[in-house]
Amino acid sequence: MQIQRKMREFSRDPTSLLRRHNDGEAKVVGYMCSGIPEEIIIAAGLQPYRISNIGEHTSSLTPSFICPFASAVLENILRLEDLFQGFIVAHTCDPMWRIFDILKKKVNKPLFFLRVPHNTKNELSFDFMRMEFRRLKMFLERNFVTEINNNSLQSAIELCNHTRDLLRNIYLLNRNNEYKVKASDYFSLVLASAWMSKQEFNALVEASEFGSGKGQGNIRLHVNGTAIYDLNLITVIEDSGGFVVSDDLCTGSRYFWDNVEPSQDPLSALTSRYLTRTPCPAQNPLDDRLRYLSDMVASFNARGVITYAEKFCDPILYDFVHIRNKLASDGIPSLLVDYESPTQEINRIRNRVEAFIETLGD
Amino acid sequence: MYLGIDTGASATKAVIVDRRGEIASQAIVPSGVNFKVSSEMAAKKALDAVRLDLEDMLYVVSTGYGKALVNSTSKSSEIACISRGVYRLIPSARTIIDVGGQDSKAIRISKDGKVLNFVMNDKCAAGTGRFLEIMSNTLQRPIEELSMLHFKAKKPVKMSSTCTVFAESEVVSQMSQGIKIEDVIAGLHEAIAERIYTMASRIGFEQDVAFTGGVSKNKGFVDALRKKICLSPVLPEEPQIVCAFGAALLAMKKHKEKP
Repeated sequence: MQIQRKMREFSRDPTSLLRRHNDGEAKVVGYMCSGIPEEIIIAAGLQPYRISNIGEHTSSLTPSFICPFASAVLENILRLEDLFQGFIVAHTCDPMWRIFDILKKKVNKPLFFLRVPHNTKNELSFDFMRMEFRRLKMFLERNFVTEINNNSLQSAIELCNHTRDLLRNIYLLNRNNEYKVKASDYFSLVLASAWMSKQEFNALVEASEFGSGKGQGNIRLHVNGTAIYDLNLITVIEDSGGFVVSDDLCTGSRYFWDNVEPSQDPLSALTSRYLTRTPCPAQNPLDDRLRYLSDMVASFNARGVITYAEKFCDPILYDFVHIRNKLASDGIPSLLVDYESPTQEINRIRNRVEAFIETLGD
Repeated sequence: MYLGIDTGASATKAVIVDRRGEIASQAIVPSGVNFKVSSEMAAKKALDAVRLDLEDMLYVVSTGYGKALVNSTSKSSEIACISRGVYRLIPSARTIIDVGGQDSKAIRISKDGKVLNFVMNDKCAAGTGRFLEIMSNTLQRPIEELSMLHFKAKKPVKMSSTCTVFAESEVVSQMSQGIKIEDVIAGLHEAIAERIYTMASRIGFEQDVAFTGGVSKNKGFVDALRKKICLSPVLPEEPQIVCAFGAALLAMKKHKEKP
């Protein structure tokens, strides 16, 4: 239980980890998206750190139709800029592109814009993404006076694959109708893995035991969405008689589900992994995402799906129509809950989640 | 006797049912800002009407936004309570449209009263009672008058926005242009009906359609929604207490199931 408590503390105050990196004189590179290859950052001898929306809600620099997540991330970057040596922004959705434009004017640190193919199955997608990863590698080498070679990339891949293995093994404990790991504990673990050094995280997890979660008899659910840092969105499900067994969140299985396959060409191996990983709402084709969702729901015996949609998050809102229809054809009920600031509107969210879970329990 | 308490965003309702599930008494009080106080007031009012005390209640179920603050035997969602209440009052209902102070809901139920699907409004006051309350303030007409004026409209205006904030400024602008108040009110009812129709269409309509919730007491709104969905709705005698009634019926069921 000690590790769960520790991880929950980190998820409430990730900046404490950021400061710890700085105290240890690690050079920290901030990024926002699970589609950024941390392996290349680690291979450059740098510490990757996932920037969250924790502590902020809006920004005076963004218009009101930009999702609160992007605005909050922007404010956190500006507030914590001194603790970073550089930033990487991925062009997942248009708000992120605009955030990059604002950062170009506002920060004085090396800044990289990673273009990601929105159609992952196009004949040019692989070459395009590999070229972008190569540009990222060159950016890091140039700005941090370092060399990233195949050996350092291989080591970083092995390290990150090990983290993924550990996370996946814990995740799989809830399969076969088991109720072993509470999602609120589990997601705080995933978040910590994106904030801590991978070596430290792996050692901590290896020394801990998991699998004593309670929740037997609660309604098994899958959570769909983008990045969830406010774990009130998860605990409200647990408090309402639900048990989150699977997800497709950027702060959940999408981050670690797929490993990088061994290869003589690590950059190509990374490209394959990030191109074919668990599909993201900002990418196409949607069919892969729908298939993944159906497979997860079936293999974890989820009885319903809750989609959390950040206000103005177009990718998830467009997807939801197809997701709802697909799930309905599979006989799986779904619920869409929109939000801006979960802590402030938790009663409204609880009202909907409780009703959904109660309906499934009838 | 069994008690159901529904602490809604605008009003708190209490209903007491007897052993046969018939309504013995009911009470509606404003919710104010303290759900605990309003729930106690509503319960007391309903209990006083049948000269009973809370201790005489065999089981109490609370529902609504403030249910966690209510002293009850157990708690339940509004969806479950509304469905149960409607199923008892209108057994032929297969679709329920409930418009309350802060939430609007559409529920599909089976022929045996089971909830098949439901949808609720997103984080926006448009399409709820709050929208009409704010417009009633802007128009300086009590909410009860909106219904009467609706039927005098000759040419309802088309509201370009159902956002409460934008609609308010639009209403001010229309009034300043000399548009008749009844046409503005009918336009507001049509706007809220449009919003609810769009939401409910996601789960579809099946006859009979029941309207519940406090806003269903506004005949002007009911008229606008009826025209929009092209179906004749069935309304319970007192649509505002259906959720509390369902909670009381659920209390009866839970008490009977108790080991």
